[in-house]
Amino acid sequence: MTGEPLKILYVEDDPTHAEISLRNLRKARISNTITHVSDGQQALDYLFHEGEFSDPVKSPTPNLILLDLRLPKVDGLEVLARVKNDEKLQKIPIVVLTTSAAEADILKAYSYKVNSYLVKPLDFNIFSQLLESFGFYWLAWNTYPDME
Amino acid sequence: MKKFSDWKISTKLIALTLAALVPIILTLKGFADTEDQFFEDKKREVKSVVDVGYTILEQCYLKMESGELSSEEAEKRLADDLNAIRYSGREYFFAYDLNGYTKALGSKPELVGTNRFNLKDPTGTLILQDMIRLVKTQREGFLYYHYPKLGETDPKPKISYLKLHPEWKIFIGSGVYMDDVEAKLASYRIHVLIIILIASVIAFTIGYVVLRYILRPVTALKAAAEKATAGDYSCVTNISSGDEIGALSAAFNTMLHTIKHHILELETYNQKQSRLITELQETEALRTESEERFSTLFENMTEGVALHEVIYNEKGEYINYRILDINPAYQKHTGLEREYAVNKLATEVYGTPTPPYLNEFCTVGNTRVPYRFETYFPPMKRHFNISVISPKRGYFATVFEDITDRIQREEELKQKNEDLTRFIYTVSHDLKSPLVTIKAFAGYLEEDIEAGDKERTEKDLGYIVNAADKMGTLLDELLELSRIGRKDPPKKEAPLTQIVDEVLELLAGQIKGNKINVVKQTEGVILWCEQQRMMQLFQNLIDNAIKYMGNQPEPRIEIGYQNNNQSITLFVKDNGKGIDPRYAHKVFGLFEKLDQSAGGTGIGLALVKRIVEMHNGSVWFESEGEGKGTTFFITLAETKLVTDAQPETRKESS
Repeated sequence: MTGEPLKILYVEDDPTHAEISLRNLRKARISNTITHVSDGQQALDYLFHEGEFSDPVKSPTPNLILLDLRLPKVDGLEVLARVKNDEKLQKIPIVVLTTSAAEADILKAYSYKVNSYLVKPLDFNIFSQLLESFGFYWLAWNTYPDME
Repeated sequence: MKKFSDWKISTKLIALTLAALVPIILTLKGFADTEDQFFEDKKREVKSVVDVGYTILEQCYLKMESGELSSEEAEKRLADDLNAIRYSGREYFFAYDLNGYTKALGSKPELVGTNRFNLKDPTGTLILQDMIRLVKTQREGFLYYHYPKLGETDPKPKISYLKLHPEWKIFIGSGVYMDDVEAKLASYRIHVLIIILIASVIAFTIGYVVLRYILRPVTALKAAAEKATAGDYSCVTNISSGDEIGALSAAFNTMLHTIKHHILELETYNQKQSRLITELQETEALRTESEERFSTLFENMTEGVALHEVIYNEKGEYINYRILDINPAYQKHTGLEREYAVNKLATEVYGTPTPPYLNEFCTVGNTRVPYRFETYFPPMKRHFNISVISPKRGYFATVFEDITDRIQREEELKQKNEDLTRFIYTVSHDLKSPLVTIKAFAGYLEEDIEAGDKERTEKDLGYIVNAADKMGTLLDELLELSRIGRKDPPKKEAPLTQIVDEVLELLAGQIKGNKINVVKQTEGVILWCEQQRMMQLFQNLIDNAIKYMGNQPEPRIEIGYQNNNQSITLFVKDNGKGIDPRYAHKVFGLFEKLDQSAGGTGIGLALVKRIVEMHNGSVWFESEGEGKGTTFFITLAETKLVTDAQPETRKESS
């Protein structure tokens, strides 16, 4: 830990889901470091500094990516593959957070080198616990590589 | 008549015996001759007696002629003289004149002077008249008749000699009885017969014995030989005599034994041969049967069969192969006629620079290890399942089956399966999302109510209601999607204009609100469709065009058709935001929304695609990129153009 706040890129198309997640993460007092984009193309643009995210200062490379799989325009798995195939970006841990518990998705995600795969539980309390645990684990305990 | 050598032995022996009897019979003949002589002697004796008597008659006549005696005296003298004569015991003379008057009768002198012209013997023969006739015609001669002996009444055979005195007209006669001769002869004959009988018995006995000793073994030999001829070699004649026949029998037995041995050998050999022949016949029959069966199979099987010969170059490497034979199914599958294909090289027949599957086929031809593979054969644009087998080195047969339909079905099924998997995945994901939202905000709602935060409570409720609404819409639209093609009424003809007009009516509010200029050229196009679905299709396309119009200052939607080579292509064209070609593949996907800012569930274009598929058509779009508008093209089966109509412009603007 460098003392710098961790930067999280959160890719989620469903605004209400984004709202829920952000609200829960806020509880863990890490909401200020989260950037939310709503489709796969935006995620790629952000990570590769393209389009509206061309300014690397305004759009800094995140320490962690929280990724939904089913996304408009560019699919989550494709975003995952693109990031993990990029020499510089592949170091970023990617945590998939999706409603899909499909075997095919899980297998593909891991074969694309996902770092963790979380399925959104239907039960609100469990969902809250999951996000809380996620926050503690990834934001308090996990050690990150230097992105520079 | 058979030659003597051909006679049966028994016949020969009997002949020999009979030959031995010949002298006896000849002797008998001699006796018969003696008998005749005996008779002749008797007759001569009678004649000479009568000649003596005649001299007496002559003397009496001469005395009467000379007058020494009167005729009465002469006659008396004759009667007395003749009646007195007896010879050979009781034999006597008689004399009669030609009128039947008795002149002398030694046996009954008292009858002299009486007329016995009508004298009969016991058989009724007029004896005297016969005598008179004889002497009248011949003067003298013998006469046979029956007459009782002197002192007897029983007539006996008798022969008499008669002699007429021509001048005196008196004939004299005497006879001898033949019965004593007959009796003598009879005893003599019996004697001879007994001799013959004894001689015969002796001859036949000897013959029989000889016959028995010769013929029996010969007959036995013959019987054995006949049995042997009939195939019975087991009977061996039991003859032990030491003569030639015994030797012959022994030789015969040896021969029989040898024959029996040979026959047995022959029989064994024959049995072997016949077994072999039977086996050969059976094999042949089986072979013929199996050939027929295979021939029938070859002719009728649905798989194409072709027999080939591998063609090698001078280095012994396979370079080509020649078709030797094909079956009807081969012709059917490949469309190649027998006359065209047989005895040609693969390169000639299939028109390819290298023979198809040369390595696969010729490896089998070389190694004789069967091989099977599935392949796509580009020259025929068909998939084949090919089995290659080699009946002998340098040759191979291909048995193939056209599996194009199966492969296509498999691919279709695979596609359908993938579609279904994606569908289920998508549905579960998209239905779960609102649920997560509802659950989450229900949780927040609880917290916010406890905290007494009214503003946030309302916000939470809003999220919940929206999520529930979204879920409801999703479910409705999914239901709708699943209904397409399932519960639709039958297709019928419908004018495109009518469909488009009704859809425009439905969307009139939005069109007016967005100041969109709608141009349509639909007259004369008749669709074969389910009208409600077709309206849904156009509604979705036009609705999309309105939704994704973007910031176009002069929004415009064009609905019309293109007529290219008798095929009608419908289109819905807008000058809105257009579609980024990067996401083109996602356009018709279920729940795909390229633009999150626009409303909707992402089912619309999936629905369009399904409706088009249901009408055996296709749908695609063209867009030069974002901001340059989009054109959706549709072709539907059995779309026709009735009349040419001028484009009609309909402007909906404020």
